Amino acid sequence: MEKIVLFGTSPGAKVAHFTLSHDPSYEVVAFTVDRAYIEEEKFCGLPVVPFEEVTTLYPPGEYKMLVAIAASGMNKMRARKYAEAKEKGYTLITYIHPTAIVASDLVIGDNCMISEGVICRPFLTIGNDVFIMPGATLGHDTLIKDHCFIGNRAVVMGAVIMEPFCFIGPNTTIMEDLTLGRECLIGGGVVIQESTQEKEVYKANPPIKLPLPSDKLAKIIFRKRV
Amino acid sequence: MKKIVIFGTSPAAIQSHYDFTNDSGYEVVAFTVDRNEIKEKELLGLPVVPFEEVETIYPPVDFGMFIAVYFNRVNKVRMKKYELAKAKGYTLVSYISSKAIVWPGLQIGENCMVCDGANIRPFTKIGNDTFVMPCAVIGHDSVVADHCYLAIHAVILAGARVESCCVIGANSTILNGVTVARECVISAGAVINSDTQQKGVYTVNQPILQPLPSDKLANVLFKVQV
Repeated sequence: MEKIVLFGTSPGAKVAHFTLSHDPSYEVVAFTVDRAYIEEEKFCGLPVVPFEEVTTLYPPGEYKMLVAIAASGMNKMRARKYAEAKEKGYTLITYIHPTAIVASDLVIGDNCMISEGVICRPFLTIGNDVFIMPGATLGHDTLIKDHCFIGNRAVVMGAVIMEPFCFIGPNTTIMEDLTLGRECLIGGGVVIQESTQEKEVYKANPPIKLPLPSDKLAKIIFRKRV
Repeated sequence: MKKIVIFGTSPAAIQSHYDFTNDSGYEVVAFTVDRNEIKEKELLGLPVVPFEEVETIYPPVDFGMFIAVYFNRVNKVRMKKYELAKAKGYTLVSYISSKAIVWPGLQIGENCMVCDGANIRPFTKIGNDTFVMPCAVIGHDSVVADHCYLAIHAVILAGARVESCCVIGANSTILNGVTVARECVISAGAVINSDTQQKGVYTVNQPILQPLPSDKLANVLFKVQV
């Protein structure tokens, strides 16, 4: 069983702790955050220790780490802590949930999280520190570079190159054979059909609110009685 | 094995009969609908009995019930029958597909349905009489209240709140922390990024019909040979 220290005390860290706790291969022993951010001595029933001295309490030889920060600051915060943890000598784990459907040839780096129900097709390469939320689908011959974050049920089709630090929102669709520039933010529900440039931000059309309340419209929208 | 009676004879009832029969610890023994809705005396080889006197034929002490009605009139039809069945003293059972991804400690009420491939993340709370259709995702720390209907591939992100009697359409996205007010209808594919108004109906732009037939356009749209 691998002993793990989780970086973070956010809801994302809470979910990572919950996930790893249900896998017999891992035992989470502690949380760590920068001293200035410690609010409680315990989180999820485990000690919270200052990141500045985590190596003395949980030496990198015996303990591994997962930096469990979501996409804050276009993934930069996670990337920074990822680099610092590596510098301290920690091995960063990559977790692949057993319900994910992953092609046998997947190439993947460290500090990655592949959540429930994710589909990774053949000839896919994923870099370091990439978080993939439940139910996302990643196509064949695609390259996801370091520090990206891919939201729930996003679809990335084949032969896509995703440069580092991209944020792909939930339910988005990235069409095949294109390149997403560094640090792009693709909002929830967006469909990307052309390559994007660095740091571009895309947002879905807002929904259109109809002028009638739902109880007046129900009969029209739901044509067939089911 | 616990025996149940299904309310309804529509496709929803036939679907839930299949699910309960093939993938649950329950045995369906009969269907029931209001007397004036009875068209055939049998459905799938089982008796169809009037709802007005179902408790005398299948007493609530021996039989459970499931209200198999989808979202007619913004879920109000199902809600009404749910309340009547409770008043008759029935225990209303929930169905959670063995192919859904759920975690230990799931908080879910009565008369709920969680279909294949749906993914309910940790620390989520689901009320009574809420239907979660295939592949929908409900993010961590979110709340879905009573009498809701989440269509196929709907995504409710972390920390969002769906109040009672909402219909969340197929492939729609409810972003982090947003509250969908009571009785809203969110159409397929809509992205909801701010709180909605009660009974609001939110729809999306229609797709754009191109001026050329598909056989003329194919080589433009599909950049990679597939």
